[in-house]
Amino acid sequence: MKSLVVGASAGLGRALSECLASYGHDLVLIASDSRDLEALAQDLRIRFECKVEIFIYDLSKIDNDKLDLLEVLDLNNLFYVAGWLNSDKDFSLLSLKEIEKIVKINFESAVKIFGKTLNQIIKNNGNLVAIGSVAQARPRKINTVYAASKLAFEFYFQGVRHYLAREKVGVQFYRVGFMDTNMNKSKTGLISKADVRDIAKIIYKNLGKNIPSAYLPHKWKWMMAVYSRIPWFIFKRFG
Amino acid sequence: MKTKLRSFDQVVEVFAEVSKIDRYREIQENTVDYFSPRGSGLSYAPMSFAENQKSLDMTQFNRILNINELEGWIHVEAGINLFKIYDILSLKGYHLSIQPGHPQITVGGCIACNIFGKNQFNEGLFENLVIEMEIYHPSHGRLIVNREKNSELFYLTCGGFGLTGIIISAILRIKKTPGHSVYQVHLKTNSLAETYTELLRCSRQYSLLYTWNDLSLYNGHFGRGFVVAGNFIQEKKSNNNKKYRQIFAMRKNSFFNLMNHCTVSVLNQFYFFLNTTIFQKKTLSEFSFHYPISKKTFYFKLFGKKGFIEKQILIPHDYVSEFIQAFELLTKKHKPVIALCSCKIFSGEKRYLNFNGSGLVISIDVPNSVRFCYYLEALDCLVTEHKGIINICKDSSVQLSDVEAQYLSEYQLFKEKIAAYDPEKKVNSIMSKRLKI
Repeated sequence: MKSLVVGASAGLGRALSECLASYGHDLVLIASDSRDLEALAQDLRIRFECKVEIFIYDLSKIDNDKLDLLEVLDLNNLFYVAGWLNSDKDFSLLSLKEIEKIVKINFESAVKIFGKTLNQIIKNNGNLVAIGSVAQARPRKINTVYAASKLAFEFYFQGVRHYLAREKVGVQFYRVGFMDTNMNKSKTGLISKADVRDIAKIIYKNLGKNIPSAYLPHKWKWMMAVYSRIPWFIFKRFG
Repeated sequence: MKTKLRSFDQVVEVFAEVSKIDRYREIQENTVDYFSPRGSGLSYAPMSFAENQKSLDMTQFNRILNINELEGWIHVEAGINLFKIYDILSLKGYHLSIQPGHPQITVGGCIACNIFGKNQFNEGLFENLVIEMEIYHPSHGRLIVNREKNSELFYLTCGGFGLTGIIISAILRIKKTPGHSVYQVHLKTNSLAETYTELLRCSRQYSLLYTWNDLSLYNGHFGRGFVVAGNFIQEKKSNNNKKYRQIFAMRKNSFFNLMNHCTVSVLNQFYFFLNTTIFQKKTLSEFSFHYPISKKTFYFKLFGKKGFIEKQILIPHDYVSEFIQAFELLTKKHKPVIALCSCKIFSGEKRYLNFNGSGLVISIDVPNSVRFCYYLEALDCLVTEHKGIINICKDSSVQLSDVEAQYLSEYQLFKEKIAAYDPEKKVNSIMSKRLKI
């Protein structure tokens, strides 16, 4: 089994890579920082005796030519975990560069990588897994661009799912809540952060299934059901 | 966001900002201001945090970078814990020959405190396993240090309490495991003096040694106990027993201190009986021998919210007999509750503030209580009088005056070298501030 993890060097991507390696998958890892990725790749090779190939790509600036290399990997699974959010900034304060980066990493690069790897995954009856965010449930002034790009990604993913309806490919899209990662370090409050290793295990166990969209951890389903129904006259007062 | 942090012995508690980073580029970003490097946070003394300051949690830097079995080394990121190293090395028939009592401790922590195991008299301190390190300091950038290159910084870092910066990675010496299991015997002793003699005798026959002593009896049996002596053997013992209980500085302790004269005395007598009869001889897996407290972590919770104070003392051979007599008198006079006493034989040289030398090491755990502070102060003086030293890493209550009196010129030398290397004191902790380093 060969799996591609995009956004592998830290957080959920790293946890997923370790989980997959522990179950005997060979890996192809994509991330922007060579030192992080090389360290992870070496660690996985030594601990799990698996083959690990790495590609150092900055998803906010990636050349289309470089993506051609992904066509010949003979993949079974694709996990798109990469995401980028410039903390909780009002969208009006984002620079054009930041907007471009958010859209490219969370949507555009995902669409391109899916396009390049889809045929292999269909041929190998594999899995397509994409990670979104609970932020998609309802837009707020904070992280609007991020939420919109994740929602666009999910919309695209539903189209891919329709395309794969007659194929034996598992498709799973997860709206993931706060995890114990650096991306969420500023998030405080009553909601406890999930351990990325637990999330990775759930994702692994769901391989082969057809999950159009699900919240992880499960409790977010109920929280977002309530959250998305808060009347406007109350919601508009939120930060 | 500020979090409550405690020293492992529960004596010191402050609010500090903990940054758990997981990318190399974040190291530079997070070390612009004052900070304290942090591993598992299991140091008894407050070495990895300071009040209202950033504590940089490096435990995500826990990857194995390379292994070379032929040349006998492993290259790891310093946030890795010993269990992860043990897990991979044991499969290949190798090990790190120096191990502290619990596998959750990180390599960075082992280097910073220059820890030792049950074979210090043979193998020395953890620095003897360190071939090379990569260190980062905001004023000096990334540096490779070993015994030939940047050697002064190498020796400052080993036992340097993390004050030279972040230890990013280390190359460690590995050895072929001498045997699959450890054959362990308990040799009864009737006093601390007899324990010392027995330790010296056993150090010629056994490769792994420590003791257990009962200091709760004030009759003729004060200090009785047994020497735990072990040697590796080839017999294969199931090594599936690699599970351990996690320990935390921020833990839920018993509501009250359960360690009092009555409970300790009863428990000790029971423990002594079991270990000198039924469990007198046994074969243990290497994992169980190296990490004796890996499943007995409940012990630390029994001291209640106030925790405990550990005094780990090294007395030079020439002064041991005299010290034991004075120690016995002092203890019988004050009658503190000593929940645990353990001894080891040490061999080595003093350097800076490393806990090292040649002599007898005695470790005692006392509940953190105002009742025992006179005893502990008197004990510090006794150690100084007998040319001994106290382990700074194990003692949250250690005072500057005692460190100056015990470590003498080595303290001054360490302080000067750290000041020359880091004049702005960018890297610091509660302990370094207290000791004015």
